[in-house]
Amino acid sequence: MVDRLENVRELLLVRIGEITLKGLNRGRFVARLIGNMKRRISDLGEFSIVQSHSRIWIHALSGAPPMEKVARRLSSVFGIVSISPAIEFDSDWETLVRVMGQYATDVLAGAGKRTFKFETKRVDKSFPLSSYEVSCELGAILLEKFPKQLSVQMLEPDFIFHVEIRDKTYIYHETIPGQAGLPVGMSGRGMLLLSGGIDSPVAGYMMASRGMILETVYFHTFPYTSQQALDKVEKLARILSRFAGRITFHVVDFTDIQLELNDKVPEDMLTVVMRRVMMRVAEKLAIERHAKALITGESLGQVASQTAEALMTTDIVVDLPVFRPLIGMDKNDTVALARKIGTFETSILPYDDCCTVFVSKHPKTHPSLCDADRAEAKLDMEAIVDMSCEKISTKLIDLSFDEGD
Amino acid sequence: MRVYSDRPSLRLVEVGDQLTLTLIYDFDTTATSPVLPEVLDVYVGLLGESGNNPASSHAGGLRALARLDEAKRMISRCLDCSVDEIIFTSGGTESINLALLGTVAAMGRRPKRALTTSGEHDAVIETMKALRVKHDVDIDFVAMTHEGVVDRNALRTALEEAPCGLASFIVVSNETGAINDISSLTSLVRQYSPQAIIHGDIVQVCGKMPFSFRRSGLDLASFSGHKFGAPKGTGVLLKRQNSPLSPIIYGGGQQKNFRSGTENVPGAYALALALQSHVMQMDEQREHVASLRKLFLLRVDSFRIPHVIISPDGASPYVLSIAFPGIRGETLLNALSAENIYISTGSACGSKRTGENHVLSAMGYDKETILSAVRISFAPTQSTDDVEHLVRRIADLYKRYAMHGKRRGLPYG
Repeated sequence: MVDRLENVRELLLVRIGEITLKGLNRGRFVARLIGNMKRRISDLGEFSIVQSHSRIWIHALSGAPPMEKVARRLSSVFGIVSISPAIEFDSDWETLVRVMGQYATDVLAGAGKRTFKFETKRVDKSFPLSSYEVSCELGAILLEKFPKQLSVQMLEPDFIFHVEIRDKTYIYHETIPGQAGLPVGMSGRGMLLLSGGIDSPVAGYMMASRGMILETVYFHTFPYTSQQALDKVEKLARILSRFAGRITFHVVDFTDIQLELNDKVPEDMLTVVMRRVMMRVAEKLAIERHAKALITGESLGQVASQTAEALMTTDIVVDLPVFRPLIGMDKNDTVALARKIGTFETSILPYDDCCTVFVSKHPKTHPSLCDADRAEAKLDMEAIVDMSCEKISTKLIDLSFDEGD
Repeated sequence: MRVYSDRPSLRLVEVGDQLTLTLIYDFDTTATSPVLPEVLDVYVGLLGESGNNPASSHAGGLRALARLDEAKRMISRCLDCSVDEIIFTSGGTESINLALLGTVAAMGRRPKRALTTSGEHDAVIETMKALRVKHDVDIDFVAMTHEGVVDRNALRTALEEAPCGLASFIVVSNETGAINDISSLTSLVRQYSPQAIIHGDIVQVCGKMPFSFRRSGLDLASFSGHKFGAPKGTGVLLKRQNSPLSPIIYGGGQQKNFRSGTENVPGAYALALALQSHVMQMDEQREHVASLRKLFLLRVDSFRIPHVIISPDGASPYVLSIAFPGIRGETLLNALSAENIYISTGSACGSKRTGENHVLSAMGYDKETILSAVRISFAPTQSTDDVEHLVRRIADLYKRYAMHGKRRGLPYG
């Protein structure tokens, strides 16, 4: 693009929003964010990433990496509010006029009639023209250069050309929205119960957006559930890792436990007891892995096992806090979010999970704590949990770069 | 990963730089079958030949043309049809599309009404639905009996209602192996609608039972090569010479303009070779396959595995639809697959949709039986030991995973 001009560099301006309000902790948040950003683009080249003036500035150090691709990658990093691809050059009026002309030519190439305006910010007060004068002059120059194509419009124009005059001068017109939130790693580690449905990946996304490192646990009941079901859950974790970074993926071989539950638990309480066992296993694993909370995709009243009573019976068996970010969300909003993060299409693949295979026709929707304890009377719960924890296989799911694009 | 084989059930699998010998018990040959070893050699040889385009005038082209003609002669001998009645396609689905779409486009003043059955493969059902939507053709799906064959009374009623211009019947069901008496169905249709064009889906017939296109009464018949040991991407539409047909693929006018596109000479030749190989050994193969099926059912009985045989008496011995109440078909498939034994829960193309099988539902089976149904295919390459092994494994897995007595969760309390 404008890099054909001498002494003009491409860069990215990254806005970081909420983090700037973090007071004395701000340095730690920014350092973590920059670390996360570096990891996300490490294969695209070498970069200088520095924070200054409440923004993060990214320059390529070597070669000419595709800055658009870098921006696209970074737009999935939590903590970033928005990104603008920009150009940078020496602050003097003649250069600004020359570069702006070329910049506008590139932006307008192939476009029809467009409206525009300038927004200028002059930080370097030694610059001879005021912000207002810069906007007026540049506007006039562009109108002269593209008399048929451009017209000025103050309210909602097609293009807003931003000019910032600091020790260097910056031009940009595009703002790519980021995911906002907090950098992953600032809020400890969470153990996500990942089922393969629509909800749990969204719950994981939401907690990662608040800075949690994710570990996931899936209860595999082969051959009742297929290898494809497991592959699907792994694929969901991989999609999540585009946002959450590296994910530790645990699979519990749950078949024998499930069969024992089937034998020993009254049918109408099977789902509740199964979930209580899963919570206990997930908690034990979470404590081993130094996780600070369990995360589930439960939403109040969505199914029989998610009534207030059923949630109470599953909540009470664990001491760790259980984060349920979807608890008050409407299904349509969850689906919209699943579409946005790209897990929806995978979630709706029709492979059964254990919740659909081992399901009773008429589950108890309002179980009491007493019901739940009684339903577990014939079970040696400690042995069951220990046995489950011995049957866990774990692997790391690292962001795969070509998929993250 | 490369796979070597001399006996179809034995696989030498190369993973990375390691070679492992794995026994694969393939009881899903209705879905597809490996290319026959003797066909594979010839096929691969032909792939490397220069100028292998029958439309070219040089020596290479002439050789290709001669080979295509030879393939047609072989097919015509196997299926009792004329060489001029053979159109090569890319497979069963394309043949069916060409037959149905191409006939409707060329059927002139015949009534715009088509009859078919609820026991058809998706290729026919979906093409018929497209005809209804895009070409305003009236489609009637004739019911099947509990035995999975066309209900003759229902067919007669449908024919009495109004004449039809097109009819399509599956000859051997890919789900149950149920065999429709095709010549009696065609004469019944002709009794009421003498002008009707009749198409037969003979995908599960070719190479598995004797078939005469001439005597079938059919105007059109579709089949696919990979179901009997030819490569995927090969198929044929048989078309009686005076049956009207418009092309659905346009281009260089190959195959008398019915199917443009350079002929797949290696594929066509391989298809003919594979078909011929089966037809030449048809009696022994059928006898062997029938004995395997009988042995299977005998052993299922002797192991006392609860079961419901869905395939009717007299069905093709190559396909067996059977339900094992208490264990989901999918669960059994998964567990067997982990031991390198391949079976199917329904038609492989549709098996991603759990609990749905339009053919078994049309035969009147309830959802519970359909959920626990599997399709086991028998093939000439299997041995009695293979079948014994299969039943032993099913018996063990049934004991381990079936839900009955105190085990709940499945509809079998």
